Amino acid sequence: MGEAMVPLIDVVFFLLVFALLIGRMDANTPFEVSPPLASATEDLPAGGATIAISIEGDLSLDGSASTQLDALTALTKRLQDDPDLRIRVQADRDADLRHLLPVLDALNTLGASEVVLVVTPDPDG
Amino acid sequence: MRLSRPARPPMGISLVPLVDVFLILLIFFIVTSTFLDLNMIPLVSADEAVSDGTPQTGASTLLRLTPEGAVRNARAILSDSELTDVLRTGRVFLIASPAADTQSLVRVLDIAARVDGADLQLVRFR
Repeated sequence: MGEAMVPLIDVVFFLLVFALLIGRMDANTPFEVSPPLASATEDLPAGGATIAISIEGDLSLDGSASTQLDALTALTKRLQDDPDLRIRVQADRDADLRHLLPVLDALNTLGASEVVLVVTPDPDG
Repeated sequence: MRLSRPARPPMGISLVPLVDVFLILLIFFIVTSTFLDLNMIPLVSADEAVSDGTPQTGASTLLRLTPEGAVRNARAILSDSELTDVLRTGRVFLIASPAADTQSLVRVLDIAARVDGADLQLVRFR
């Protein structure tokens, strides 16, 4: 009976390692965000800070709901420690630009050297 | 009277709890994870200078992104191919309506990314 369990353990362990390797742990957003569709895109590297913007304009920083002021204050400190910090802006595709553009403007003012917009590949692209 | 007891066979470690743990971990990861296919469009990169708002010399075109998501110049709405042609001619300044959605802006950025050497700058009035 013990010997029959070994292949099962191998399969389960293999599935677990597979899931851990192909996935990348990223902070989840406290609200639903559907990234915009795009075709001419680049691979999204891991790491950095993530600002998420919901369709209603709610903001979150690295998975925690936040106001714009608090998020930018936190980012100011992080940029002081790491001037090359990559900032990923994950805005919902139906979010109005009145929510997105002030954030981009503020990041420009903070002097962020790397700001990327998170998108998802367009299946029709 | 001498009682003889058979030697007890050596007990192996039960593997069933180990399998249970792995199964629970696997189900936990499957249920709590969402697999997303995410890419990026660079907006600001380290090798580009951040504009300080001073006027630039050279040919440039001013376009608007309307609330409906269309791109227009002073005369008419531009199609994607016309926008591509404009991006090839020189620097393009885009004034985006705050009522336009993010997908519309990304569509324009997408077109600009496909044009070699496109220079597209977002303009925002303060």
